[in-house]
Amino acid sequence: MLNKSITVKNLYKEYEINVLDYKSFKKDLINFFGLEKFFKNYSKTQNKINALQNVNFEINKGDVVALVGENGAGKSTLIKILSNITEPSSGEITYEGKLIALLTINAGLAGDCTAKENIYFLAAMHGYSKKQIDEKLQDILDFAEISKFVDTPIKKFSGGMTTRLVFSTVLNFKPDILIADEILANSDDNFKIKCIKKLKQLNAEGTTILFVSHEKELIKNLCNYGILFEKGLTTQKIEINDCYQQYSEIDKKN
Amino acid sequence: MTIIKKSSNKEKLVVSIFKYRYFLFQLVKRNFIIVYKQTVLGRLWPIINIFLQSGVFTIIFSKLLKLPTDDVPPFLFYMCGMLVWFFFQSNTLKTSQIFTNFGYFFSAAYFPRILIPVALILENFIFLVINFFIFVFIYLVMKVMGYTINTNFSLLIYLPLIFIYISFLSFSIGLVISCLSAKYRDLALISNHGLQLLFFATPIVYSSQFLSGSFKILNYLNPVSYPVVLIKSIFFSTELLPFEVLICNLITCVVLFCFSIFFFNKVSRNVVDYA
Repeated sequence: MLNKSITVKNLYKEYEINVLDYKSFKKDLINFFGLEKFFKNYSKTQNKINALQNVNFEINKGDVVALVGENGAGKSTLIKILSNITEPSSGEITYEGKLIALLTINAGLAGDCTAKENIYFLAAMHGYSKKQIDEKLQDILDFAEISKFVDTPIKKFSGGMTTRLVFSTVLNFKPDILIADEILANSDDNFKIKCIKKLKQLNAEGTTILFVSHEKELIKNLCNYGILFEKGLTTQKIEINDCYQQYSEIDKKN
Repeated sequence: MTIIKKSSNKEKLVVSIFKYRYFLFQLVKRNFIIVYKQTVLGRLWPIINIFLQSGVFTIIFSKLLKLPTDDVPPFLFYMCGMLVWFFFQSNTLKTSQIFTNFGYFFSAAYFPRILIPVALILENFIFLVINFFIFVFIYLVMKVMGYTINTNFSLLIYLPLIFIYISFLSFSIGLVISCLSAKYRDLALISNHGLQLLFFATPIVYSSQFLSGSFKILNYLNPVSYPVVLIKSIFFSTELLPFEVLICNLITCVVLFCFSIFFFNKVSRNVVDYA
């Protein structure tokens, strides 16, 4: 029997899209105090948009799943909810084990601090202890190929080097679930190949991977399943080739 | 197994701080490293600040306006009050701006959000300790030089309690401001003026005996007054405020603290959506 890794049930996420000014402030106040009936011109229609609408899917342990869709289709919103950065408006997600999501590369890094300091900081932010980090430090530096620059402030690093530092830090801790949102975009081909290899190795050891990228070849090489996003609606987990076929159909329609 | 749904994420203050203690340490360390990067004098800056401030006050309030300082050397009198005020002000201001200044952390990964303001307080505490030793040094030097300064040794044990009280008070006020200004930032823009008003409402540059009538009552209601009067009383044996004021202030602090934690837990959950 296959173990469930992530289960998403009836997930919704609403966002306000109005400008925040005195009008929205008035509405918020009325809502807050429950005074709707005292204001004649009060209209309940807030400018809201559903970034995710009734999303349902299940992912098994050891799957490598691509999240495919156009910009603004809801991929990043789902990842934000999965990583507990923001809450769903309704619905439920359950998952097993340690989950790490990489949403942006630069968040949490300080240019004035050295590579080593940043590695410790990043890993601590993801909840690891000093002892755990001490053990992994050499592996992280080796994999990122920055051993020479341990004590260099990272504002002197190139974009690619910074990406390598962050990616390497997370990969070497072997989380149970790893989510990466378009973070290999500015790496060179060599490091991409190295990362894919490492991701496959992690996957073989049981890590579930969710991957977002607009590079079709990279995804087809790495992922065996896909979930297609379109304007907040999603498909179930489907074979990656089917996923891309449906995606191209949406493209043609537009 | 982890379950994520609306309002499922309830943080337990002490538990989460303990669990993420290494991250807390890293946060404090990082802030401490970054603040005075690319300055020549580096860590000397907080010391210079309190010196300059006390010097300016001595010129304006003592020499120019001739405000009485309870027969204490003016420079020392102002420095003593500023010790408490700097800590309070810095805590409140930094805590009130967490959503704007640390928004990028909040959208980077999940960690107990409360760690950010706690780290700020701890960082300020380091500077407080440095400032305190400078103060004690000057205090002793002036005493040896023959100024009449009477230490009230019986109150000395309350000294750490003053700073613990100030930590909690400023943490609570800062958090409430940060939550109220997370969506609409107006309050954050006015808080500077509020703090300035509070500064002059607190007996720092004048003695509390100086006040009478309704100003005296206001002084009793001001939660920062008692600690300032108390620390002056420890180092200069000046008069204390009535005991009831202390009780009243403590109740204010506890209520504010509970409210701020509740409010912060509510706001911080979805703050990345609009901050």
